[in-house]
Amino acid sequence: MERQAGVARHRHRPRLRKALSQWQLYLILLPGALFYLVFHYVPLGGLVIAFKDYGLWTGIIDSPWVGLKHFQRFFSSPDFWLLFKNTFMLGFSSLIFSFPFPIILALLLNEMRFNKLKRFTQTVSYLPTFLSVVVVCSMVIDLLSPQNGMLAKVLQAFGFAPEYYITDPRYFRAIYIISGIWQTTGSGAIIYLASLSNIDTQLYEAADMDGCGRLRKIWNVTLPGMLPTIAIMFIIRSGEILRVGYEKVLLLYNPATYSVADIFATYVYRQGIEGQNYSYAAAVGLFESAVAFIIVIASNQVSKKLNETSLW
Amino acid sequence: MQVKKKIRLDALDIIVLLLAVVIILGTLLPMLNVFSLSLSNPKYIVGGEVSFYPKGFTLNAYKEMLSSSRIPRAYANSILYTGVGVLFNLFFTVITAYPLARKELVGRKWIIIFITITMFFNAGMIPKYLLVSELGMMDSMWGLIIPTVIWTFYLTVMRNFFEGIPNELYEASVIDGASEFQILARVYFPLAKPAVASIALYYIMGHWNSFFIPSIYITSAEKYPLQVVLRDLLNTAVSSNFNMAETIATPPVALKNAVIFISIVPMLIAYPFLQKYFTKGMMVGAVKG
Repeated sequence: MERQAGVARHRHRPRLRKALSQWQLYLILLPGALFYLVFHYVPLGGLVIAFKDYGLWTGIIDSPWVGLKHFQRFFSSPDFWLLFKNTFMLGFSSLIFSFPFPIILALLLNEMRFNKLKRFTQTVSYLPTFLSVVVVCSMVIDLLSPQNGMLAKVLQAFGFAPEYYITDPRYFRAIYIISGIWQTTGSGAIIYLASLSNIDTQLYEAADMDGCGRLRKIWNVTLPGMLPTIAIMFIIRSGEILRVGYEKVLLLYNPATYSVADIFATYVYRQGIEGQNYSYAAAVGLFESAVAFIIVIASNQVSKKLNETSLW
Repeated sequence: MQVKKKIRLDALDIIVLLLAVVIILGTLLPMLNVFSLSLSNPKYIVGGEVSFYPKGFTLNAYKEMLSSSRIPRAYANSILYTGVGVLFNLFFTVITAYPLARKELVGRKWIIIFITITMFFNAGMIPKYLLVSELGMMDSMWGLIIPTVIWTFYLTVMRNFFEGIPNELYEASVIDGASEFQILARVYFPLAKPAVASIALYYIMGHWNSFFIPSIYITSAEKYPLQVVLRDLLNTAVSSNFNMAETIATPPVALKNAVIFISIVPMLIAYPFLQKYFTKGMMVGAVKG
């Protein structure tokens, strides 16, 4: 008995002693740990207000429990399906339409045989990444202004009627997606360029011996070499499908375009921050986080599976 | 035989060149438009005659910008929030990454899980807003800095960098009798400067460009950072677009574009020096992300 206890103690003691000897490391870690506790875990706990009737004066603890009232109200409101549809449509269509552009840019830069021009194109293509979402939206609004917008002028030359594109629900998604492509293609290409530099040059030499032209080499060597990266990036992006850029939506939408532009996050903002319906907004936010969580986990599972099998 | 290989253009080269020209123009022309609008006479702006060079050159928009304290003050606020913010970001990110990079730390795995979980569960806008309000950080610079002082993503980048530093350096420092604090400050931090520069760039961009958080946390107009003021200028533009009758009035477009221009000038100046760190950050991010 005694001996066993001794063994058990022996097993734990060194670990504890080691931990104690590392007190300096724990001390250095303490502020960061506190940060995560206070600014990540406490708000998660604060989500209980989704099940209460929270008022600014009653506080979280004293406000009465109301069960699923707010969720029921949300699911039965006509807003729910509209928001659901809009969030998914915007996330999904911007994934599908934006995804190929960084790949194309990377291929293009890879095929460019003038090094100075290549570097210049790359440098220029990063520039929009540095612009804030407010600046990009402002540019979009100015460029599409029917009276003085340059882009509106071009569109009109192509037969579009001169109108307020920005207040027309038909154009909202296109505006959102194209401005996103404009801003993120350059920085998005970096990862693909990195994957290109990892392709074995012997493969190209072999292709040369076989008499492959440049297009064939792109198709048979370059693209297959990029494929694992493309697959991983696609899965990561799908996981983020619900993380629609709500800041941009907030800046670009207006009551005229709510029918396509209003998404969960903007609704939470209007209900919670502007309307001060904190509990209701928290319930909507919780629902959105739960759906987002499921999607992220699913995409992680897929990427794990793919990583296991991608040793072809 | 030393023959300089001459590049013979084939069809693919032509296509690549054309596309490159499209990309370069497509990226630069909208920016040139901003610059031109800020320097043009409102008469030509309303007439839709301003494209990629100023028409009826005038500095009025810039004079107007400087005539009231609103925009210079917002500019100063942005510099203050960004400067203080990034120092806090870097300090807390580095000191948190260091212990987590020491593989022998007891409980390391659990602490990393504790941190990683927060990337999957997001409490969302409302509880965070209420917390900041509860902590009395509303309408103050600290509300913009403290609640996001560590971005988990950059913490991971930093930790990975520290983990790549050979352990012999650590052991040698221990033999020399250095404490953990000294090892971090004198050995690890100096070695990590390139990584610190990369994450600093991203933190700076984050602060300088953020508008949503300040727009809900900062309530007094005299504390607004530049992006929030810009948002207000944008809103007046949108609502005047929305209300078609109003657009005849002198557009605030020139003023707005002047503000945009001065808001991106610091980045344009720093860009050539920072580009290296920018690509590096993207690569690390993509690999680990």
